Amino acid sequence: MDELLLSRVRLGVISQLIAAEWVTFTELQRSIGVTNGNLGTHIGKLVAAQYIKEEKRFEGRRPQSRYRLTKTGRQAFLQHVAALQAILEPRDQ
Amino acid sequence: METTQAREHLQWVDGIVRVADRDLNLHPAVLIAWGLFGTLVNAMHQARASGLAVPDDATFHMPLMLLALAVTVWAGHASQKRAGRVTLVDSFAGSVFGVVFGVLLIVNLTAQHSVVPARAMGLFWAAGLSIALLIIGLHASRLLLGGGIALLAASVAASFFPNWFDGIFAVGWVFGFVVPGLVLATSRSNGRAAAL
Repeated sequence: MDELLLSRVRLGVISQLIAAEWVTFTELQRSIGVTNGNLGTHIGKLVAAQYIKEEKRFEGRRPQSRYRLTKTGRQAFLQHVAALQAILEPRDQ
Repeated sequence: METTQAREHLQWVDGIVRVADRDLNLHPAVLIAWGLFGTLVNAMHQARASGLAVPDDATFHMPLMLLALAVTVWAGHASQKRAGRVTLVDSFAGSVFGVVFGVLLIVNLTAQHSVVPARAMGLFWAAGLSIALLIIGLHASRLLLGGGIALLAASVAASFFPNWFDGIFAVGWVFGFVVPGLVLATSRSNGRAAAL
């Protein structure tokens, strides 16, 4: 079990990124439904762990942050999901 | 972690991934621009074959293609800005369209007037882009699948009616690209694009 992915928000961020090349901060906030500050804190932890990569750029005149999943993040996500499934398997059989 | 929490987290992941990995954020303007390009080029060829006075291909082929390319670049940015993401399906669709378009363009520039009659290029383009529509359609969009079937049907039908060879392609481009583009634009304004 990955300690970092025990948070529902961080798990949501990784899940969003697993099916995308990249996703903007605004879109992550909209789809996960958390406040700016809350999401920023969780994303900071994922970036620090190198699970996701942050790219800052300008869209027109407005600054934009967008995120990509790293190989480390993908591996951690797959292992975490496998661990979650393992918890359920004995009861589901 | 308890089983109820594990189940809840897995359902949360499943709910996100199941929706996200099928999203195709294709801008309707791309389909409409390329559809109009194909329709106009083939309609002009048909008009010439029917005896009407039509300007040389060089005067309208390249300007129309550059216009469609410009719309594609603009729409790509607009689409990403609107969706706030590029999904794996978006990347896949971009690669398929890009590769098919590139191969057709190279074949067109090298083979036309030498080994392949100019007239046959309409068949190359229609068949090639119907392959692209069918592949992307099978992965992510019933609308594009329908467009691919329409363009493929036109490619097959054109050979049976030599007098209307180019005209049938023009109709094929309308139903293969323009109509799906208009349906997508309409459904987007109604907020139903994801279901297509």
